[in-house]
Amino acid sequence: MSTHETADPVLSLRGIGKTFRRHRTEKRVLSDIDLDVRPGETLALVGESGSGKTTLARIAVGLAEPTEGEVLTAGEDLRTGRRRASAQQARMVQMVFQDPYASMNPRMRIRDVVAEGLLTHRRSELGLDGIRAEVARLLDAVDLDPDLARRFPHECSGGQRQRIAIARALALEPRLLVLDEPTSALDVSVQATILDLLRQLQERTGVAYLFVSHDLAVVSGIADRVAVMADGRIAEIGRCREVLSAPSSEVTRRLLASIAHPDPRRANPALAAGADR
Amino acid sequence: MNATALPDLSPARTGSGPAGGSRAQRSRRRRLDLPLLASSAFLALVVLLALVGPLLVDDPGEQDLLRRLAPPGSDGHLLGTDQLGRDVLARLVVGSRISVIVGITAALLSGIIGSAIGILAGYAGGWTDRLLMRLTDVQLAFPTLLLALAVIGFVGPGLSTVIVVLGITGWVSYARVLRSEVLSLRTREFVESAQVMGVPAHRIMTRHMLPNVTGPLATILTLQVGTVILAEAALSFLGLGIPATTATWGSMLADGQLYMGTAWWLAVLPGTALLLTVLSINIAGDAVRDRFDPRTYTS
Amino acid sequence: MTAAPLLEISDLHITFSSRHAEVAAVRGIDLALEPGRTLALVGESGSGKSSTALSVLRLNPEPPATYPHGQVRFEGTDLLSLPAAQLRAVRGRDIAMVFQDPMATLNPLRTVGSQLMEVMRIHRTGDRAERRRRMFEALEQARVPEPSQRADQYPHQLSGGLRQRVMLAMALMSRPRLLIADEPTTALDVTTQAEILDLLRTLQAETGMGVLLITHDLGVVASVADSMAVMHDGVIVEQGSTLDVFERPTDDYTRQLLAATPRLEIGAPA
Repeated sequence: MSTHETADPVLSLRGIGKTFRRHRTEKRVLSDIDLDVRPGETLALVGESGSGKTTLARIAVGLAEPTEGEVLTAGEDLRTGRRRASAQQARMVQMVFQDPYASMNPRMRIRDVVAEGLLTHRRSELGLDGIRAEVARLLDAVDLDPDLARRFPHECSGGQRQRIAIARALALEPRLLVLDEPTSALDVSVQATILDLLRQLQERTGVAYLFVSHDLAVVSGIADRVAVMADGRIAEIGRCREVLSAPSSEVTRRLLASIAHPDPRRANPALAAGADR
Repeated sequence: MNATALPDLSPARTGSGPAGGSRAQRSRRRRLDLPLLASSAFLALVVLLALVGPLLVDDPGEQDLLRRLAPPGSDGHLLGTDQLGRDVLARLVVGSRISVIVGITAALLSGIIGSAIGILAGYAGGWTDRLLMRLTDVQLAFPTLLLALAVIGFVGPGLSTVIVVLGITGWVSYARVLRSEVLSLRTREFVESAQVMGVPAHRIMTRHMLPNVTGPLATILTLQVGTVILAEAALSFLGLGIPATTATWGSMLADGQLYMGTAWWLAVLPGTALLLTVLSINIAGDAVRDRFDPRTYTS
Repeated sequence: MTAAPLLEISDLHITFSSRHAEVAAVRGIDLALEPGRTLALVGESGSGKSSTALSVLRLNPEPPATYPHGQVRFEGTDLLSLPAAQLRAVRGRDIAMVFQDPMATLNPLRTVGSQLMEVMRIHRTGDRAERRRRMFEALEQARVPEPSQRADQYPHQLSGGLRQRVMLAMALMSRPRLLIADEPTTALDVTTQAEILDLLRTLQAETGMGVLLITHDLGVVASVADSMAVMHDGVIVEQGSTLDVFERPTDDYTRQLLAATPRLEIGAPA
């Protein structure tokens, strides 16, 4: 996995701040965020609930507007001020949501789910037949049986739906994919296959990932760099290996210490000691 | 991940293969739904009568003053005759045509208007929403009958007038309910996904909002058909609807009330027809709503 | 020397019937939990682990649930064939249960304290003074900071971790001999999860109660369980001491699960 450190970052967040105002109360959710996602890299955003990582991800993709700061996609400010992304924005940044059950219109067949972006932006380029072929190609790229195309979301398993969501997101050939806890709602055995798929797709297409997660173990297996967030700020950012083996912030240390390792000798030393006696 | 108490009884399972019902559907049992069966049969009868009935019966306008007020079962008149000697059965059949036409078209008209307004208000929000909701309040403030009087006074009575009046006064329920449905749908992740994908608003409204509100829409529609039929009857009863020479269930009721003591069948028969029709519509409407939801249907 | 089992499940079968389908959620399982021990029942969604946990207190809605076969014996008595009145005495008193989402199980309209008091009132524990004493005792046991203030707060005013501690306090008040915890930390942050798991270990040491823990997370199992049972598709594919199963798994599914569980890698990502 190469990180082209000299090329323009795919996403640049500069001085991002976000305050939520409700009635007369204010809540400062993000402060002073400076972040770059480089082409082809996987940058993980880690933090507990309330750290602001989800809000930041939504700002990156255009679903939320920052109160201060700017969002540059491949060097340009593409924000429209409206919820709906412009064509340019949609072809640069896409999103995969956490809940595979909620992220799909229950009334649309899978083939329509995947084709929607294509119909909106690539219809003149591909034509209807081309779109049909592209849908089949995308489903194949995520290791799904093409028969699934005529089914409805509720007929598919959680893992299948997440693959469909990935296929849909990649249809517009974005340079950055924002993934908000993409495996948290899935069974462990399915998680691993989805993460493998994501790695393969990145190798093949060179897409960058902004990977939001609360799970450091998952992150350690997929991220090049990691940004640890707490209280709306970035506590620490750096190469994954370095941050996790030699953390410089208290936040990171606390997170690392809290991990429930799937290894009784590490996670429950008293038990192990008792058993060995 | 949700820890659910009940296992998923639909064919979906977590796993990598295509969804299959291997462990699931081992037995299929069907319960006979009598009310639904009866309602559907009755409605089919009404529609049939509305379509072909008038061809099969004698002229409902034919008067026979010698045979006026004949009770049901009289020679040649299965359901009797009214005060002008007209055959009650024939008039009922012709009246069904009016009821069905008015009921369906007026309900559809208000459905289209109301859905458009409701979905637009819910999705667009802001000034559009506020404007449209004020419009709703204004419409609600206007009593239907008063509006009907005004329109009919202006345009003159007739079938199309009745349909239009009922169509443009009935849209409020749709608008209100669909607006609140859309408000909650709007924040769902599949809508956000479409927004991130740059899908234009009008497509989101037609492709994502509308198909997901067909449940409440179908329910209101079926309730409205019943309401409209009754409203038409009321208008005719008051002499504001279809001219009295044409047979409608409402005007039959109006005429029949004068003879309640002596010729009960003149009011009771059209009244029963109205009752059974509206009841059947409501029962069938529930089933229609369930049928349109892919989740309750496919499993 | 092995103590008599606190909870013993023998050949349990649970079936869910609906108009369209019949699902055998649990197809013959055997489990034994000793007093003072923690047994973790691990499985993915659809494995039947939650149904099993709910069956101990017969909390599966019947219909659609039926128990065509098997026994659930608590201190020797089969709970599945116990009449309703006696079962109610056992529930919440001898056997307590904690669930995944405290917001769903706590009444949002009443203070935490009033809900705790209510539980004891239902079980007719002592008089009002005695109940208040027990309530604060339980809150302290659950390491709830500033218990007198917390008792007057509403659930939404508490953090997720605090709410779960309140749930544990509620469970502890009646001094149960068995605690069933169904995914108690799944909805919590990592640091809060660590605290709650630590609390569970402490509580078990202090009270000597048995704990049946339901989870999908092998990390949670490794953190608190003495023994574990791996469940898949309605049957138990492997069980034994936690160390044995982790280090010397004999079943393929167990191995798959262990292999798929993410572990913290400090080396370079693949």
